[in-house]
Amino acid sequence: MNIPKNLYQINTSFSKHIAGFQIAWDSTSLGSLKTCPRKYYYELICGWTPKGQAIPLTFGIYYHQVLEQFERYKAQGLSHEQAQIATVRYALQLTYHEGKPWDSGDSYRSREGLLQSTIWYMEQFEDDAMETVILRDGKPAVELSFRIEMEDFPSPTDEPILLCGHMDKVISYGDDLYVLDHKTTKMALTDRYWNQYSPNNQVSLYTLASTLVLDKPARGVIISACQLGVNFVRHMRRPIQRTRDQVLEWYKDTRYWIEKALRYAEQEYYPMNDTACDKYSGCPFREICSADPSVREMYLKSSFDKRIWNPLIPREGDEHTNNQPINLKQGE
Amino acid sequence: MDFKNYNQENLLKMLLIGESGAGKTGALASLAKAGYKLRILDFDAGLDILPELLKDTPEALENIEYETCTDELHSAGGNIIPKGIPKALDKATKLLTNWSKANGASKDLGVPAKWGRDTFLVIDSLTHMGNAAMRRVKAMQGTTMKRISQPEWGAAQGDLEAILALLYSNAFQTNVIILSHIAYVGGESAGDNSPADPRPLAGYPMALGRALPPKIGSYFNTLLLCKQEGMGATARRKIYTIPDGLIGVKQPLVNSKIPAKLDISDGLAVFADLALGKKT
Repeated sequence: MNIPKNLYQINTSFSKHIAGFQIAWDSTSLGSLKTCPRKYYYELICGWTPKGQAIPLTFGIYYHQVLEQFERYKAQGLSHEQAQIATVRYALQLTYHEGKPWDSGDSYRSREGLLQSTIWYMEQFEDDAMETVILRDGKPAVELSFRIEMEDFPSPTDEPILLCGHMDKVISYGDDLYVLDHKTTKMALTDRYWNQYSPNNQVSLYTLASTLVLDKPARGVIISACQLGVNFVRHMRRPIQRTRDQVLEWYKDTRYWIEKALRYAEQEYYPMNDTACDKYSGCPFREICSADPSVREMYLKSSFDKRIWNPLIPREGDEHTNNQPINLKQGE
Repeated sequence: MDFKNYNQENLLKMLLIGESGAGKTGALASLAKAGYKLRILDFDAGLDILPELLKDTPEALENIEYETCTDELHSAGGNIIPKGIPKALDKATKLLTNWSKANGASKDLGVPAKWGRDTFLVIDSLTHMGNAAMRRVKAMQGTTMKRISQPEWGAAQGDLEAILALLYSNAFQTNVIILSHIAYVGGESAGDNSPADPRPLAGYPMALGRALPPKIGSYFNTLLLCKQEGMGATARRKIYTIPDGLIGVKQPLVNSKIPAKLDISDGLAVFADLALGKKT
């Protein structure tokens, strides 16, 4: 399989010494590997993404940015109503490009949907009992990027193996701390939606990271979900907790999977997991894998776009954040 | 594994259900008198009967520890809502992991899962624990209890089921009694605008809506019924060990000479001693 020898120059989350070996991981890249090594190869190593997948990602980025800005206005001392108005203005400006409003072509993830979902969020949580935590340096715990070095992982090179992530916010609720993570979805917020978070890479990783970033470990992650409808939105929050033993088990599994990734890179071969093709509404690479190997590259070029997923880059569109990633070693 | 020493090794995990005033909480007194330790998570704020029943046996009172798990409520804008963040359910789940002062207990009593066969973890009551779960869910959403959405029902029911699953698991090596009121589910609409239910009318442990109560019994092999018979001065409270027609009472001691009705004054202790192999 073709692994560019200079992959690390295209994507700095890969090793300089072993082509195709990822040294900086996040929940997305781990999830891709766990689902199917071949999918991981296409997505992370080759950088292929289905055409049109940019819209959910773009909408999600806008959603996060608008709500983050709302938090900043409140932190500046604006009243709720003032902050709301300023946030709506910000959202309109954010989604106006090159002399025209953003048109996603999607009836759910649209400019109107963005305004509807964020305005209703501000309305519903006006008297929010969840308070943003203030870190030791006096800054609010929002948009926290982190990197954790896996010191106990026997790296084959001198490069540290990192677990990376980006927490939207850390809040206190009662006597407990939680990482709050915003999500948008078209799914109904039933048990079927919430069940995807246990087990879940991101929840486990954030719970682990919280033990290193905060004075007191977070009890888990609160998912603040927004169901997008064409003419409605629905907000719901639910805590997803992890015990210490669950987090330790997840970390042990993560080591196992990264060792697998190393083996695949050394052998320059990523096998298909052909039992995963039906999962998550069907793998986007199913048609590629179904085709003869000789034509796959041609199919990829016609049906997919290129996108580099680099866990070391905090988040697209976060140029305005002041937070540098928090680099931690375990036990620090 | 074999059953040779089953009764000497197994635990008693049971539901005790009954209408309000039927004697569920009072029935616990006999266990304390028989030497069992009781550790009670009190969601009902209704344990007054126990010191009254045990005032002549202070050594039995010494066997009881309890922690109140209630939310402070107040009236605001015509609604009764929790004052601040509801903490009742969080306190209970923390104590179920470690009954410690750090988790809000008045005493350090260790890990409930390891208390053993001489101790009962008591939930009084499942009904109000369910209400605490719903208040916690609603507070997170920033919405009042006036209208509860389907996902919110699901979230609160999920929280409750998680606790039941914990108590039911083999890892929880302590006896368990869960007290509950009765929910009648099924049959024709009860005139409360709820839709007709095709299931036959039956009584179940009351907790959060209509979907969860029929499932709760599956977590326990023993479900006994507290019932008041008669009225006024001749009223007697009994513990039923056989079904009464509407309530699916069940218990594993089918071949022992256990009466169909036990007196409330010593019934739970009689039953527990038999179930735990302390008497035959």
